[in-house]
Amino acid sequence: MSANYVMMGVNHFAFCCILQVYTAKRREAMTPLEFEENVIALTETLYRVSSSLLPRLCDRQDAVQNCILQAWQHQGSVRKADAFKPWLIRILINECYTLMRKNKRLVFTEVLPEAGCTPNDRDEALHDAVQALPEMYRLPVVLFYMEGAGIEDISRILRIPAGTVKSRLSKARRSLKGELTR
Amino acid sequence: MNQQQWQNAYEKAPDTFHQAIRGALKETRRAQLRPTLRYVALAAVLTLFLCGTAVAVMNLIGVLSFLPQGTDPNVVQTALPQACEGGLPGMSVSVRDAASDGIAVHLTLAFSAADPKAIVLSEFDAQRVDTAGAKQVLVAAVPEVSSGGQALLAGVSWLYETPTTLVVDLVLDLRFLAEPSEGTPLTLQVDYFIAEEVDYKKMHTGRMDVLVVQTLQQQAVYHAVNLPLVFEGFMMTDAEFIQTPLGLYASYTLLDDMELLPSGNLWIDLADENGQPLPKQHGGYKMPLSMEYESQIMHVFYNTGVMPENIVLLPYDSGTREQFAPIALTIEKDS
Repeated sequence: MSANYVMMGVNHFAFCCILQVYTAKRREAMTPLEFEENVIALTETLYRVSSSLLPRLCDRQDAVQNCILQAWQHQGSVRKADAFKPWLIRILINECYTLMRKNKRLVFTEVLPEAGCTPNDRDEALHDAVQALPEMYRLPVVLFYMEGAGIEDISRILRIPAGTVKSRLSKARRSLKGELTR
Repeated sequence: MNQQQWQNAYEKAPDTFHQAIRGALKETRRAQLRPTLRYVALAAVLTLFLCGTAVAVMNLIGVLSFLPQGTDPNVVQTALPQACEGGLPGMSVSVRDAASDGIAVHLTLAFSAADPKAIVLSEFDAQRVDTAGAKQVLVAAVPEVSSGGQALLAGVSWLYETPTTLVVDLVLDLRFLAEPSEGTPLTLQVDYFIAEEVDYKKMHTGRMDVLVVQTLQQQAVYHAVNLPLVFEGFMMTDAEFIQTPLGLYASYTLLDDMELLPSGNLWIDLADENGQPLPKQHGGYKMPLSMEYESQIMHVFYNTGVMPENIVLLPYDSGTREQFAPIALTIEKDS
């Protein structure tokens, strides 16, 4: 079995590498300094997006580290500077999902609460209301209201049609209103 | 509410998170310094890739490619009746084969692009690959699989047969369905999603109805005999392990008072007598049972062929990752 999986892993990794060679095309990339500055400027965004998906801080840290390494390796695929933020968020979401699947601790019956003591610099009622939203509604809310992303950007980030983004935001708003005025 | 007020829903990033970012950026700086090593490694993996591809092309990827070596090939069902609607012109999606043991079904789905200059990627790889020179990029997302409205998908793995063909293995847990019987057909609805380009601007959906025959493979059933066990305020009242040619299925019943772990939930990994973790096919579920605080955890592991006499439970708090003391379960085969 292990040999089988080694070959699967090697094939998978090798496939990614060969495609990079096969499709390689030099384009203008950010300088390392620009890349670092852009990432650091998005620290709070990365934290909020990962917090919305991963209940454990250690997982968020793993996800953001993987995200940055992936982004660094493939930064050439960002064509415009203003596309960097949604592109990085998409990678982070992918990493969060990958981590969730890798952990394979799918708990369908409840939402895991945040670890440790409650931080005092957040709006607890809003936090609980947002976290209580199903994930399909929570991410659009985080991206739209907290990160100021447009509908089209969210559509691209979450790979869902713009109409679906709107309907999810609408449902989320109704749900949040109910929760917060209770 | 303005944007700042919305952002108060989450606390500011703690120092450790900032450190994690700085650590990753430091790693990118290191990576710039070792290009030569990267190219040597690339050459090595390309060689391995070519060898692996040659093997894969000779034997098309199917269910057995995802199961442990030595799995009986007679469990594989091929030429499955299937009806497909929707999808995307230029890409064929088909169920290649399946295997069932009455508890789970493995179903392999092949996504194949007609254009030899296209590439087909799993959604997990889409952002990792520079696809700038490819004529067409198609990205297959994780499908949804159900039967009679009950969602079944429990695990996903994938292999690339060629750059234009991706094969996905779906592990479907049937324990939520009615008791299977030998030869009973099971209709599965597979909803799949294909994106054109990695930015997912154009999404296409398709549906397949597939008929799989449920077959009951030989089972060995084991139960823990040193129960009930009390640990960390929890009580395990039952632990059952079913071994089939396709997997090892574990389920435990716990009196699980959520109040006891305010920061998370009790979760359990398994190891053999030597402390080696049992390889998981998927992580499992936690299901509420009839009593208020009673729940059942269900896992699927690969069948490694040998059932240890003692299984070590590695309980932990899924919220804080706090590990609790390991506990040995003594296992006996049912007569």
